[in-house]
Amino acid sequence: MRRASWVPILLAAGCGGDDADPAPAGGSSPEAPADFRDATEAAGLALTLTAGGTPPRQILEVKGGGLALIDYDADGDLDLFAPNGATLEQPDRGPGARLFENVSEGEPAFRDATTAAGVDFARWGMGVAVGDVDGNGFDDVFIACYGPDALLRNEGGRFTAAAAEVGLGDAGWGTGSSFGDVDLDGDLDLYLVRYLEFDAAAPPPPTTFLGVPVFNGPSGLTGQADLLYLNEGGAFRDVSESAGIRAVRPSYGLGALILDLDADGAPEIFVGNDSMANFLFTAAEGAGDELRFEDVALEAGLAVNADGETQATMGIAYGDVNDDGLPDLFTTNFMSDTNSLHVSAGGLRFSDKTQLFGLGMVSRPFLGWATMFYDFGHDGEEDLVVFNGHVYPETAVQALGSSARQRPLFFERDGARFRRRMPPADGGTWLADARNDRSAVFGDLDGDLDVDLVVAERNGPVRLLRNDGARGGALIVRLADGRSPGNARGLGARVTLEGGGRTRTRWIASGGSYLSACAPEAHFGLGEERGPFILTVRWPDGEEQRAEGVEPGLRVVERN
Amino acid sequence: MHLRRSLPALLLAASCGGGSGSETPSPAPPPEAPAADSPATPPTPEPHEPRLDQALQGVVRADYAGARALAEAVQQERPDSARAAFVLALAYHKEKNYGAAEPHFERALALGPTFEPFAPVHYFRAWCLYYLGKLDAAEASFTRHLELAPDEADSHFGLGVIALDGGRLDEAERSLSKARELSQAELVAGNSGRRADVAKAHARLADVHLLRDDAEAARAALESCVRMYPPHYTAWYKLHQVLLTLDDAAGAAAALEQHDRWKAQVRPGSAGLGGAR
Repeated sequence: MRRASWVPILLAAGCGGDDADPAPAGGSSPEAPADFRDATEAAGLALTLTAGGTPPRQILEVKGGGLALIDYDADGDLDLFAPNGATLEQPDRGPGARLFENVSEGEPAFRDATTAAGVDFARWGMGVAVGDVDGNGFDDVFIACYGPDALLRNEGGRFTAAAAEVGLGDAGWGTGSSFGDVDLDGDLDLYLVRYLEFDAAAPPPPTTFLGVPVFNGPSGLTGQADLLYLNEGGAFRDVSESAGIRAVRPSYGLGALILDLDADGAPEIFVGNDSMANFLFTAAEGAGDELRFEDVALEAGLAVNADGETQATMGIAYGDVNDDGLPDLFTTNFMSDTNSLHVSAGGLRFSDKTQLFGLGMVSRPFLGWATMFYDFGHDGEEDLVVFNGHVYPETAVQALGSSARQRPLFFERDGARFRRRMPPADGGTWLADARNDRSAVFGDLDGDLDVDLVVAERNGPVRLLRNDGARGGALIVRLADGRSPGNARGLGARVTLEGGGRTRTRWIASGGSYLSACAPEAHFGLGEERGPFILTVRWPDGEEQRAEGVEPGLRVVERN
Repeated sequence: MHLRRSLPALLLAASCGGGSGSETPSPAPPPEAPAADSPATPPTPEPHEPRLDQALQGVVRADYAGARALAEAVQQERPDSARAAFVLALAYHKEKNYGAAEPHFERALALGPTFEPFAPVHYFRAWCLYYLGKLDAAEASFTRHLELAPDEADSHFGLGVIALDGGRLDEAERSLSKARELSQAELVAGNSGRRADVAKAHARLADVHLLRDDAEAARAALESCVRMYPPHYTAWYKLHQVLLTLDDAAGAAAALEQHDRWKAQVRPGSAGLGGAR
């Protein structure tokens, strides 16, 4: 009798949910998370991105595509740009990029501005970076593509194709990209991450994984070397060879972040590679005034995880998890591996503290992509969000006891650790919503000072998740550098906020998340603190600017 | 009696479970004592099924598909066979297909204990759950296994790595130390197969020290590890990192060289980190 009653119960319990999300492990909580509400439809954001076919047959089809938040019309709010992809059948002719103008008034609202703004791009777009490359006061858009890359030059709110004119347009498989002032001359240079050699007309034959047919790669295919372009008066020059970028093994790159990781005044370039060691480029010893980098990822502890294993680095988040004023790096990885948190130990040394911060085994059932640290709840501590989804066809993933559609992970700080917030038992929230997500961008879209987000599913609709759960005040800091010939937003700047007995640090950077460009601003949740605060901006050139008496709200820090 | 002789040997040879890639756990023979999972009326023992012995041999040979076919054939005929479910689970588990293995472990647990020794069901299920990220359930399963087999070092080790992931460093240290002591005792008693287990406990104890930012203690533990079992390439990598932290560049370089050398031997075709650039 007992046996008869146990068996069905245990069997049912063992089958898992729709995304095989495990029951809460120690350190998770069933309480409601920061409350995000799907405002996509109400906001008029009708957009479905294309990235190959479904189910995917080739590796080119599984990466999804990026998103960008850009104030293209310089009216002070964040508009949304999506480069969009294409299909194997017509890799150079997809449904086309889309631009949505932010017309929010209290509630988030967007209006399709693609045609009005002259956006005309229909190749297979992957990653996107935003920056004012010609210094005309309007942010331009770089699109890393499968095929020739694109630069959409913004001329007062109208875009024109300008890649060839400015020396861009590499024809490889570009993925991530990041703008930053790597030579400290004030303008924006460009790091282009590339993936691998792939011919859509003659793709490699499929292989098997645990006996299930799946696409081939990346292992076994030929990686492509990344490229570094220097900005010289709005035109770009490929300096990859002379700058030492080609001294490393061509790898399957997916993301890049240009940031001064050791606070020595010169930016590093962190590159996340899929199934190969990550790169960390820093100024080469003895380079003097010459622009020459060397890869020190292994010595820095960033090349691989704590066990010395390469990971399938997809997304990159940066933040300061231990309040030491130095940037820590979190990367998302493949299923059956954990995500990784590398905490700065000072200088260019990082320690893998994934387990200590509660971010280890909890992530093992998930294949992670977009990620970022933000204080979504305004409690003064940065949370962490990760969007997930498998690359293999549903039938293959089900054979592994999982699903291609996976829930997002949302972690809140609980003392020294991050604690996963589980969806409520009755579901019905974004946390219970299993999708095949890829990219996401973060920023205050409706002007209420909290961080909203837009997330893109592979071959699925883009969703706008409005933050309705933030409690307490916040400060958003934007930069306006009148001295810079193109980096007015201060990409690469460090922003610190002193008050309430602590100092919080943020960075404004290009790159991170996954293939995407987030809002170029620093966000501080303040809880019940009202200030006044002391705000210090360390500009990318090292100059520090301090403001006292800062109060919650939106603050634009100018330098002239 | 046949089962009592063959299954422990097969499980020993199968060396399932374990933590990181170079950790090579080899669980001690499970206890011969009757399983404690006894409902009010103990289930009737299963009749011996030779095809399941063959299936286990298939698991040992890494013929997982063949092993599954045999176990499934038995299961078709005798749906209430806990051992068939267990062997099926083990075949998936050894293939690292933990999602597929889990329901079969659950089924074995629900139908048993109808064969002996039954304690390994808890042990392998625990590792399966661990790899699925279901740490609370894995911890309970390791604990259950230790109730039945208190001197099983690898289940203490499992509890240690779970505590490590939970940031419970003191608890992790206790469990990993216990695992090391038990394996060491067996090693001293002549079980040379425990050498790797002692080493891997050292390596995970080093993780505890690293998470405490105690580089010197980590160095000592890692040096003990690689001295005891040089093929532990993960420990060589960690030693490389620790020595860099301690400003011993030459030692770090030597450790990295050892890492690459041993990794190439243990996992032929894998790229060394020293040649990454």
